[in-house]
Amino acid sequence: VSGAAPVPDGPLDNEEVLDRGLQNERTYLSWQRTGLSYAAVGALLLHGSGGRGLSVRMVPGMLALVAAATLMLRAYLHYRGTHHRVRQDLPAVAPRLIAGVAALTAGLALGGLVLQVTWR
Amino acid sequence: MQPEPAQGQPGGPAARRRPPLREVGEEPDYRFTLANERTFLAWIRTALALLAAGVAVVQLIPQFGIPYGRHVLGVALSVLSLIVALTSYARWEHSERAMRLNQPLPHSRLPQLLGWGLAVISIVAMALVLISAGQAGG
Repeated sequence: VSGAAPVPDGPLDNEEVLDRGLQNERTYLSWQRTGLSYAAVGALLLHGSGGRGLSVRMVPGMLALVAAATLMLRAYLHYRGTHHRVRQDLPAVAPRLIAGVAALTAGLALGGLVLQVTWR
Repeated sequence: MQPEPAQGQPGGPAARRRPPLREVGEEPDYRFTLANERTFLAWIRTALALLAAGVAVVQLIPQFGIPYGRHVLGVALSVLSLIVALTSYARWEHSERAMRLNQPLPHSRLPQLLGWGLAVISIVAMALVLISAGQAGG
């Protein structure tokens, strides 16, 4: 049994997976888990926002829930995009998506920190 | 026609700015790119888990006998979360750049910092619980 699965060569149908290591599928699932983590954090932040009508304290929680939904939908598009890019020998790297998620998470952490400092 | 991005002009802004990722070196095996992406996502989930833990400590667990005890733990966890989130893109970018240039992957001190940070937070949490229990008993 070899360690690294070689990329199969020869004509391939677009629906066929890219490699036997299922790298793209594992990455897709990793995005989905990240989306679910956003949803969990969003629920917690909303729970801690006070629950007394609309307030600015709900912003981090709402942001996290919107991010969760967006990420889980975007994950499938990213999966398909990666599939086609690799098939066409184009770069699989997605710096803008990565930067967006990093900035969003930092913003959320900052929002959560402010909520905690002001929590009574 | 746009001028080519200046590289190697000391002192200018272009000298400080590194060339875009896609223009550096050569395209690595896509499996390495995806592995790097998954590692980035694992760090993001770690940041989210730290944030969730911080929020839960402040809002869900009972008050310690010591004033602001919960806040100290919650804020420490959230600051760790913020550090992990703020450094996540740079870590991913440095690894991707190294892969494209066929260089060794850069070493990160964050795992060490995170390990020590969580150990200290755990010890402080244990101390707070023991002190609170002692106050309740005595």
